[in-house]
Amino acid sequence: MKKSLKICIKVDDNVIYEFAGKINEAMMIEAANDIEKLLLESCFNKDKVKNVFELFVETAQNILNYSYRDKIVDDNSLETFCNYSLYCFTSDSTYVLESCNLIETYQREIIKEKLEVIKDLDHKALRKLVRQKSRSKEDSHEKGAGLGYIMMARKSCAPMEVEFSPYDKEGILVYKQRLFI
Amino acid sequence: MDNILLDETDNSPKVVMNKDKGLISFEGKSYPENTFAFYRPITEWLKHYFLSYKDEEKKTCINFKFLYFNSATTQIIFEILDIIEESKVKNINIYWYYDKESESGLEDFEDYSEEFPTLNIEAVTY
Repeated sequence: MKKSLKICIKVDDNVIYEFAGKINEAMMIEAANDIEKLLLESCFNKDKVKNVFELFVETAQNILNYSYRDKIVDDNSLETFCNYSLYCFTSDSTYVLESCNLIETYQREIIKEKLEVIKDLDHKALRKLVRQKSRSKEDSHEKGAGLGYIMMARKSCAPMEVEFSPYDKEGILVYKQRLFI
Repeated sequence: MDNILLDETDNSPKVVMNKDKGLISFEGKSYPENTFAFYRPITEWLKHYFLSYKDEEKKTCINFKFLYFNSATTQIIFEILDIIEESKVKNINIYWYYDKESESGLEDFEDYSEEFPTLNIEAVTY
């Protein structure tokens, strides 16, 4: 993997948004605004636009907060040099949001544990879990509420897919995630 | 305790916290880079506001009009509602605004209103 970033959105296999480069918070906000605009132009289901937008943000903030990075630029901008791609396309009215970034090996078990908790939960149970964890703050930490994966499952129309692949550096994995919205 | 007025940005809501008017409102998108740091002064303000709530005749209106928000904001909204509930202050009207075409906006309203039944949160569609 090279030091680049790729974000693209496809509708019926047509790319409607694509971006390549490094990521930081400002770029994520700009991308989110562009994605919102493009979705509002191409999708009449406001609820779907809301869910895609919110899951794009959730995914991008996960990448910003938890990606392996070999350099942190000054002033807490947390620009990351890891390689990832993010795209969304529709077929039978389902948007697919796919991302790919580098993580440290120990994070694989954390992600697996989170997914194990939610894998058999239906929509109602996921809503209940959000309420429970929001009030208990049991998974909350400095960077977030620890609710990201539950929200992803709640706003998705099919189970998310994740994949961990080796990377050519010890202790680092390539993490791929695909959401169906 | 000063009033708080924050302009809306691309990733943070307009925030109005006016103790004289009894008006508290949030409007726009909410996914600040550090959500908890963004809302910390706001939750502290709320704690002080309700602690010094002497006038039983005073009324407070609280508007939640979020367009999009991240999961950390979800937790913050619970925290805000917890502060209000624990204060046991009366004469508070809480309104949850959502797009009438948004199923998830309705679900959010249901989650908050069911979790805090004593607050009588009202839904307002637009």
